Amino acid sequence: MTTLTKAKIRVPKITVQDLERDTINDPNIWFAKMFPESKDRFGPAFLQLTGDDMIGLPRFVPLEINVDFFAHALGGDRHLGHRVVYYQPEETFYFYDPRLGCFCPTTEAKLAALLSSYLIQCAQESGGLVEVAPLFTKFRDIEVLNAVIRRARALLEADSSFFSGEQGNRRMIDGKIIESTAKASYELFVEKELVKIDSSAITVTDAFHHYFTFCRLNALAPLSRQEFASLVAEVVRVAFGCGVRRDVRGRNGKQTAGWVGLGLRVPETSVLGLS
Amino acid sequence: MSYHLFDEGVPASEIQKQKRQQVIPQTPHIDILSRFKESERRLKILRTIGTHIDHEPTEEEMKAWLQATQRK
Repeated sequence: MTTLTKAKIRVPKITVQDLERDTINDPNIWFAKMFPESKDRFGPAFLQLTGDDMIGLPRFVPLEINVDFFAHALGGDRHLGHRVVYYQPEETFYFYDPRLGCFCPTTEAKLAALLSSYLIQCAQESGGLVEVAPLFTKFRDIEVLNAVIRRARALLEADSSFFSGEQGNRRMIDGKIIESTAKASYELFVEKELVKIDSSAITVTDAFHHYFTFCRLNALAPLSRQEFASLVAEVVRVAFGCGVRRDVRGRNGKQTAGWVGLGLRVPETSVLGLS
Repeated sequence: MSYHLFDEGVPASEIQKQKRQQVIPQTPHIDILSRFKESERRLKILRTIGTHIDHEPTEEEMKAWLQATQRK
């Protein structure tokens, strides 16, 4: 790194006038222009070191990444019609695909690749007065990218109403568009797979295993076990009038959570031919 | 500069004015196209490889994208 005089570590306040300036020698302005809303909410993209080099030229060194800024920026550029949310019930990120007019699931590795591409693009478009090495190496380290994605889970979190009800959004799963008014996977499971059998009992764990297979066979996105346990209890109570008990014997003989008087309609989980 | 107009006696300033008017209406289209390309560049990273969107964008898809960019 070049030795700097009048060196100063700063978290700059980027004004509207700053955004008019040339972006090539200031990655904070480059990112602020790209994601103005993220800048307004969470400050600049980097902790910056500025100073003059040996011949008196002003230098810019990005020191640390602002995790909050980048997590919010992953939410997408609305001017391009983009939006990314973290759908908590399925612990999955979804992005809005304007060409399909619906949300599609994506992986955290892909989000890391997108973030990485932003940093490379910034490094490529930066002028000679910017220290680009951290943009290309340090900030693209998988640990740093994962930290941003972990924060994005919190900032972009959407609850179960996001894809359900009249106001909900459409989404695509395994090439099929699912309308927001369609029944949720756990509701379909209760309706199609569970039945009242007085002499039977089923644990929440066994129900979840069958539910998971049911989702796989019918190309539905399964909920996490925790979400399944909390959401299915109410649906079972309404459909069969029985609540979760803590004294149902599991396969290992120990008492666990489950339902008495409830069983599977058929031993093997069925394919519904849902479209 | 269009020499045939110049040969017909149209003043150079008038020819330049006409050329500017031809170029100006195209500017929004170029801007939209470059934004669309940038949008696709980013979305391609997030998309999975599949048959549902492995074709070039159709006019309807371009319109849908444009509508999405105008949504608040």
